[in-house]
Amino acid sequence: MATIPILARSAGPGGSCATPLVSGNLPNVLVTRMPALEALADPTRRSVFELLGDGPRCVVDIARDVPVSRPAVSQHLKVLKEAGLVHVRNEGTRRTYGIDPSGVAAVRDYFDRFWTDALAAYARAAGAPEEDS
Amino acid sequence: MTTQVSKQTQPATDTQPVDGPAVVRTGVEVPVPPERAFAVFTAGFDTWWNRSHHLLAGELKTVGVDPFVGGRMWEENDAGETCTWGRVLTWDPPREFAFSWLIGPDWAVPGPDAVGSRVTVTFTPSSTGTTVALVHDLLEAHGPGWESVRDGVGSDGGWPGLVRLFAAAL
Repeated sequence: MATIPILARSAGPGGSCATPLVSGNLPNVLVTRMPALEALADPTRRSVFELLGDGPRCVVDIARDVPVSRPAVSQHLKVLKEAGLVHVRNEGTRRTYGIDPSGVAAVRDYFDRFWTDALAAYARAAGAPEEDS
Repeated sequence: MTTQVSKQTQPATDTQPVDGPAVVRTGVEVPVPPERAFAVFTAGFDTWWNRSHHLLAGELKTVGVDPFVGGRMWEENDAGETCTWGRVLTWDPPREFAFSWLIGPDWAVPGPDAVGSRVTVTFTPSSTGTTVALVHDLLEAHGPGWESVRDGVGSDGGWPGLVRLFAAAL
């Protein structure tokens, strides 16, 4: 069981994120591995992923909107693809990358484990002798 | 007459693939009556919740449930700060309890316009106690692109409409 990094969303200058900034180094908040989140922990990779939220794009188009080189974009896309977040389609001579809806399966797996563990703890508490208080 | 065995007992873990990827079903059998099972799940939330699952900085001091529809699912840290991470959607002791889950998988404090999924817990008497069934659905709210969804369409017309509209009406 690895501890995965927290997605600290930067709300720094120019940041458009409305979510309150929370500490990025809370220990052990997540104890379950989730490749999709690990993949998104990198800010550049996350911005690549978010760009695809507007629709599929090819590498050249993506590289135009992020401050990294084309090979770097390709590398980020590879990681996102391996995490099940992005799929590749060949359209003629172009390869386009888009968000993979089946990535929600990773979220399902996460909550599946989460609730299985939580209910085990709950069952222990429910089975414990009732306290007089 | 009193020896009838209930045939209604469901398997504790009843996974139905037809639900697709956006629903989690799980459950557990507990050797106590539904009244006690419901009370431990709600009033006793703090007694079984995993202490490492919290949103605020510092140590988790208390996690709690306001016992009425529209009530908060809340946590308090050791500095006395509190935050709300869900809302009670159904409060029907000792049968059903449901709440919205506004936490993204990154466990950040939900923003005011956070979209959420839904957790429904039912308590059914069984021959040995209570069958507790938990369904966590509308999980697409936390799926790929969930940040984009929240920052975009989620703030207005979002599709976990039930949960969001409810929260807005409080």
